[in-house]
Order: sequence, then structure tokens, then C-alpha cells
Amino acid sequence: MKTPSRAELDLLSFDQLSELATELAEEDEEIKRVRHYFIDEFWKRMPGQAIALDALGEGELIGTSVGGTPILWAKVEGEIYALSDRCPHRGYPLHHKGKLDGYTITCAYHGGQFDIRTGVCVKHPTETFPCERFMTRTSADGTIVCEAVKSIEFESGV
Amino acid sequence: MKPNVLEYSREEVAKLADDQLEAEWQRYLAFSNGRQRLREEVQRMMRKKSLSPRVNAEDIPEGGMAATKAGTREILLAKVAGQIYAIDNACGHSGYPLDKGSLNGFVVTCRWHDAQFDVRSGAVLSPGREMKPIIRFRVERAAGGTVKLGEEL
Repeated sequence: MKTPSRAELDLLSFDQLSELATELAEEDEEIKRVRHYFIDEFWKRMPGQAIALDALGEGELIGTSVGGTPILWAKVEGEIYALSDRCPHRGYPLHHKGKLDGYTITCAYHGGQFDIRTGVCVKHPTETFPCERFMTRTSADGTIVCEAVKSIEFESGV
Repeated sequence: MKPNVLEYSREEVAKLADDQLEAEWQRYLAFSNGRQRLREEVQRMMRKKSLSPRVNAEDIPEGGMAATKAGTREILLAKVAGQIYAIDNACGHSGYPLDKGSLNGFVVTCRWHDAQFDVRSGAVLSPGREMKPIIRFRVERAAGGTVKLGEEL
């Protein structure tokens, strides 16, 4: 589909615009399908093993897969926090170019912000859910493990 | 590299090297953001085409709707039991013009995805959808019966 300019759109009748809107809605299904391919691939390429406590520097973020669940790890003031690595808005991997400022993680996709201590959504372009939060603790071998605090259902990959 | 990012299959995406995956994702984002802007523009244009610059209160039939303009906004006017209610004409779900939908009592149903709102309050009535209530306006009548919109409520 060619992208019409604003002037070209203005020449269309209501019914023509309506038809175009329908075509765009159909194409949007394709857009969503391809988005899942990329997002799933970002997760597949995350390291699968547990991370060592000292692997994470102050103010740093890392994403790892824990038993198939993508987890975002962040260290602030020596404390380690873990959230689900899926942004609750569109399922984007938060570790992928996400920015950590203090306790606030900003998703690189649409700019949604979450408090890494609570998972609470601080700011978002649209209304959204809180991000799933995990408890963290250090195991005997110095790796960090996490446990789900509460379960929120996510639509897979969306 | 595909000329059109929508032609990618799952297997092809999986075969991309890390830097290619990143580059193609950026191309995908540019494409999908462009499409998002186009969809919004088409919906805005649809709302624009459906409005009348001046609406006479008598011209809206009982249980009927009309669309008019207030500043840069397109407004839905709905007449129920002789009273005219005004809410933003952009459906809270995806922005299609609500006046092209149907009015049943105080409930307007969007023609496109059946989202429902109360015309008195702008409240969202469709369950399971995350939407903000629609902005509503005070309705006044100017001389000659023309509908005049007051402040946002």
C-alpha cells in the first residue's frame, strides 16, 4: 500500500477513507504478527543462565531468561531488583535499550515508565497495567535468584 | 534484507545476525510508526468529513446524532428526550467518528468495533476494554436554535 499524503487524503470521500481504514486495520494484523517475530527473537537471544551478583554493575540493566520467563534485572544503590522483562503495554523486552534513571525504567518502545521496586507504572502514553515484579535473593553460589511476587496474566508476545 | 519488513517469516527473522536483527527492527519501527500516524490521520479525516460547521438543535431528530466542530475538536451531538448531549466524536477505542455509529437510549455504539459510551457522561460502557472516559461539553443554545458548545465538563 502506498502512503497517501494529507492533501491526497483530503480529496477522498468518507466512504473511500472508510475503505482505506479497513485496509489499514487488516495490514495492522500483519504488523502485529511480524512484531512478535522480532520480540520473540530478542528474548531467544538473551542469556539463559542465572546471573552472578557481581555481573551487574550499579545502575545497570540486564535481561535473562529464568526457566523460560524473561526477567529484567537492575541494580540501584547496591540492591538488586527484578521485573518481568515484558513491558505490559506491548510486550517489548524492557532490557532492550531500556533506560534506568534512579528507580525508574523507561521502555524503549513507547516510553512507558515503571518503578523497578514495585513494578508500578509511573508514566505511560496510554493507560496500562503494572509490570510484574519478582523477589530477589542471592543463592549460596553467588548467583541471584528470583521468585514471583504475584502473577499477572500477560497476553503472550503482544 | 527484505524490501518490505512485513514479508518476513519467523524463520527469516531467526536467521538474522544480531546487528541485522537490530537494523531490521529499526526499519520495522519506522514502518509501523508511519502506519500508526497514517491510521490516525485517516480517522481524523473521517471525523472531519462527517461534521457540519453549524448544527441547529431542531435539525437533530429525537434519538439522532450529528457532529460539529468546537475549536480543533470534532464533537458528537446526541439528542435524547429532547435534551442534547455533547461528547468528543473520536471513539475512545481507536478514534473513529462516533456519529456514524448507533444511539440507543443514552448509549452510543461505535460502528467499527462496538465500543459503547454513555452520551450523558462520556463513561465507557464496554467491559474488558481499557479506555479513558470521553470528554464531554456543556451544551448551550445560541439565537436561532444553533447548538453552541460551552466549557468542557
